[in-house]
Amino acid sequence: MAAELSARADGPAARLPAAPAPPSAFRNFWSSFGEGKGAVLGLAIVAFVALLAIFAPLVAPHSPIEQFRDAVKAPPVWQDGGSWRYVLGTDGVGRDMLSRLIYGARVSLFIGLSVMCVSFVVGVVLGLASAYFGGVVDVLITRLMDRIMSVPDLVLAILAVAVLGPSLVNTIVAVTIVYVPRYVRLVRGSALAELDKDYVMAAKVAGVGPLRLMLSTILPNCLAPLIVQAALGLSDAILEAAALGFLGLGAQPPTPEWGAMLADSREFIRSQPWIVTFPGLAILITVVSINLLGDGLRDAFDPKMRRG
Amino acid sequence: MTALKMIGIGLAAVLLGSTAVSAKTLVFCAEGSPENFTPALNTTGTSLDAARPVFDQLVEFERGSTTLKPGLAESWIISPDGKTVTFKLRQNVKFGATREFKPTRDFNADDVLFSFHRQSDEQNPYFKVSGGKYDYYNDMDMPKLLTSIAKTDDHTIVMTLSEPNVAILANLAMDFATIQSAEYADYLLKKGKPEQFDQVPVGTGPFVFASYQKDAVIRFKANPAYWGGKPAIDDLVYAITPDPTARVSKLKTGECQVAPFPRPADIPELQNDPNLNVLSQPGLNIGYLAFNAAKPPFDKKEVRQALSMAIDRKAIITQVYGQSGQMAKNLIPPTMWAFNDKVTDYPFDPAKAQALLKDAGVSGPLDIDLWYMPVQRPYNPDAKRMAEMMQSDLAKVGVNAKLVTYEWGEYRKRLQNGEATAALFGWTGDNGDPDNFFFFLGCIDGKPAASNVGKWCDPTFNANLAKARQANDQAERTRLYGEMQVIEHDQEPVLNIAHSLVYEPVRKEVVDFKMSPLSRQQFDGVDLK
Amino acid sequence: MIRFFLSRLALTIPTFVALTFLTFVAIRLVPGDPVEVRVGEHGISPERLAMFRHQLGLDQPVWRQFTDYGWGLLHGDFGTSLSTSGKVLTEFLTLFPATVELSACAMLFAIVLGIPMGVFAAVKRGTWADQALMGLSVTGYSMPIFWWGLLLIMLVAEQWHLTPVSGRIDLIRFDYDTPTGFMLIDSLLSDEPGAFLDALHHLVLPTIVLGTIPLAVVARMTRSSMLEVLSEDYVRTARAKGLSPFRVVGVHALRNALIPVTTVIGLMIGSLLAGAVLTETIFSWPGVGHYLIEAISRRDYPALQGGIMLVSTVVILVNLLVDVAYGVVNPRIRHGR
Repeated sequence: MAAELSARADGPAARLPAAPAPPSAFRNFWSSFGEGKGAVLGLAIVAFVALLAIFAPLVAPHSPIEQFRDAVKAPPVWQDGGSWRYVLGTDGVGRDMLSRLIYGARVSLFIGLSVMCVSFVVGVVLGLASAYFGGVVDVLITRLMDRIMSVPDLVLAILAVAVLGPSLVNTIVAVTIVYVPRYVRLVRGSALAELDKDYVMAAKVAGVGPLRLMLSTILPNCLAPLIVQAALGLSDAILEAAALGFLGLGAQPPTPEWGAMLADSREFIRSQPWIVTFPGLAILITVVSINLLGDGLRDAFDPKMRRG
Repeated sequence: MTALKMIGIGLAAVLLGSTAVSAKTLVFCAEGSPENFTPALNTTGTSLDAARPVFDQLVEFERGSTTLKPGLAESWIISPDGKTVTFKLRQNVKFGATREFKPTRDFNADDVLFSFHRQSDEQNPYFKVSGGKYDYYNDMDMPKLLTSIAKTDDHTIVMTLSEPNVAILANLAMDFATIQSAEYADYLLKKGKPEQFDQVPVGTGPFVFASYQKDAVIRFKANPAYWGGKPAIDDLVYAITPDPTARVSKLKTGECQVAPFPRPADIPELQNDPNLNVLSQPGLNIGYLAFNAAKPPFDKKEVRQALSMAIDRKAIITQVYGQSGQMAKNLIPPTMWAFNDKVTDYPFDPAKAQALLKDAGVSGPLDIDLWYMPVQRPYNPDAKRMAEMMQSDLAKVGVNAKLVTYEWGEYRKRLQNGEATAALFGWTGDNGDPDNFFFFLGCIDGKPAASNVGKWCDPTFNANLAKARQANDQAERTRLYGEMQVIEHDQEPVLNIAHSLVYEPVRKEVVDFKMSPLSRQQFDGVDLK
Repeated sequence: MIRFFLSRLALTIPTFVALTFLTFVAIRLVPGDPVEVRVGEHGISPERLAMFRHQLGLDQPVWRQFTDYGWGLLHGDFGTSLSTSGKVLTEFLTLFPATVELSACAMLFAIVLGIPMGVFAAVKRGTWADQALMGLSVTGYSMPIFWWGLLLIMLVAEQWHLTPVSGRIDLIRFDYDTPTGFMLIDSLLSDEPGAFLDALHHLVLPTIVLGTIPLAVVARMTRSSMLEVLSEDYVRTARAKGLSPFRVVGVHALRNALIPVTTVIGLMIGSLLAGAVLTETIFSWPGVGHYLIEAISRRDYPALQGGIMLVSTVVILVNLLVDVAYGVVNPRIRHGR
């Protein structure tokens, strides 16, 4: 599931000529974002999922961890024997599926956003340092990142979790380790391209200090591809965390994590398929809509696509 | 569309290829790859099952039971003091040949000596080959028990024991006591490839090893010269299929005929399939919740009893085991002769549990760690789900359980070090003798043994344990074990949860497949319609 | 050109050293002990534990273990698996063909379907067909493949009986040697009729599952790269000259559009191996992904270390080749940096 990521990082996003957006660009941006119906749909679903996650205690009909022993493996409402009490049925120990999915959105989005923020910050710091200082620093950082990228991502994440022990926080750490190199490469590449430009030269000559130069001059100009990467990275982080959860290496019970819910209910795929279907669908829908949103962002940022 | 085309081609292939196959081939969907093919080196059922078709032991278990019968030893005599056992060996028994090695002589006493010396004698050239870990040999206390083993002639073996032990014959029927070929061992040693001894097995068993591809397939051919008669099937294939869902699917589509370890949730569906027979057998095992008696407040038996009453085991068994569990009141399963049926089980009674806790001086919420193992075990198909259910039950009597788990090896180590407060654990019997169950609650010199994860010691219990080991009379042993079960129930060092029922679905065309209470897979005597 | 290749090759040497060191340290940090794991409920006495740790060299200081390991590596020895006592390199080599076969089929599936899909979508840009294809593609690369695999087994193999459930060949009907380890090749060599088709038949489901994400990526990349090329001046010129649209798209545009697609395909090898971990687990595919997972759960240090090293080596080498190939196509890269 990481294929498209490296592809994207080195693909169109990386080749963006990061044109400095004109100051009044928001309207322009929004209109071109709105051109893609998929992007708007994606935004709508992401917003919906986010709202569900934020207001989970208000929205969810039951507690996500309460076990209704009298209604274990209840089918969803539209099937024989289903009831409105448990709209999507209950799981193997009688917990309400809908409530768990809603709370699960919290967990998944939390993991995704945490990974995104941490990798963003670490990626920017390392990438800028690498680009600006060059020499030994650059070699060390880029080589380390290459090393990390040469290990297949899931294997690396599994190894990291095996070292740290399975938990929610460690899932975040493991997935971050896997994704940081992509941000570092992206920032370094964009920053290197910017450093050659005349306005940077001018700023240097004018005596702007290195820190200010990096943060207030160069960084804003590499922001567009970074934002796209961050949006798309969010979906990958969610998928990767779900894969870890599926292998039993993610958040621990009774946390309603989608991947773990899927793994715990694997045995019911034949007898009570809905218990397996819903968490999978939840992952799929969320990830698809985040990807649609990310694609919309990229199209909006990419002047070439806009022109064509 | 390529995919469709491929499917089309495949379908055509299936239709064309369904020409009659004359040889009888039985496919067994094994759940994993063996570590190697020398039973003495292994502890996992997967590895032992993979070697079993090729080998015999001196004494063997009757297929589908724990009753002993003569194997490579035709008969045996135990001396009156119980310390000497003399085995008369079977004659004209042939070893199977492999591609590379053709045996030149029949089975004799040297093969027996080699098989035991490899595990006991550091001077034996094979002692250290393939890691040289003889866990079962050591677990069964053989180094201490077996003082010497010698041959008096080519067909007579004499074993001397340090003390009388009624379980010795049952021990010798276990896989670790498998007899391997001394001639083959010498042959490989001369060629400088001793490690191949454990990769390409040569034995006297009903089948001959043909080939093995890691994680894919093991193939065996029937041994026409087998001393017990040629098996009814010609080819035996182990198709290695680790995923339980895939195993069930393959069974249903006929890609294999026997598949072990179905998930509890799949059993009703399998039972409804007209092409399948779902066999079942009470497992010789116990899944339990151990309370650490060394850690307050679990040093008070009232607290242990209270928690036992607070947990709704019936619900747990329905949801975790499905049909494959039987609620346990004693440590040993009811199928064992030593089972004490007079013991009355604890009821599920949260109110009484709360009262008991209060009486024991536990006021306010009690925080405990509840450990669950990260893996599926024969006695516990889903420890995680079980722990989640217990957590919810305990919360209702004011006990806050935090769920904890570690990687399986680490889990066991910490558990045996006494780090847990309450932990799920269990045991699978090796040979059907009650001692093989009771010993794990035993204490050595007043200190809990490592296997005693409840860290609980009771002098009467331990005295009885030692006495029962040397008593030759089954009635006497029954009495001693019966008493121990009463003590165990009163003291409640562990809450006995369930004995699992082991299910094994086989296709209807399989004839006379027998499940073993020891969870062994065995294919001699099996036929196909 | 050769200098470029050699310099790139030289750059991989420190990569290997660092890789060895990092995996080595990481693996030693994993809690758990290979001896403890295997003894199960029986437990092991402290004396015997100490003896085995000594035998396995686990009681040595880590730096010592590392230098020993490095010395072995220099002699082509990747160590001995603790659980099977087999040589890690030998085990890896017997399992690797299965992974390569599966990955190659998945890749082929992705390319053969993905490129026409991408071209089609680009040519029909904005139509419902384009939107449907791109919608499918987004769904494809958002797919949790562990779930996808389970669903396909349920439906295709079990309900509709269109494919086998798992495995590589029908074990009842076919029994032949596997000298190369590639079932497709071995089945042809075996001259057993129907074996090749049967092997192919077994490959269908795993190929679809592993190939879904690459397919989505290739289709998208082809589309966007094609769109870019189609708006270039020379394509417009070609069109203006009156060349047939088929020739314009199929020959002029596609050739240029495929350059970035090729790079992406090369870069996907690594993630394909990661996907193989899940796919192999679900389909009981005897490959290296499955091997690594087993090694972790058994705390089989040498197998895990050797497995990661070898997989990473493959990824590094493939990336190197892609890099060089790209350098051949695009001289600016060769001389830049």
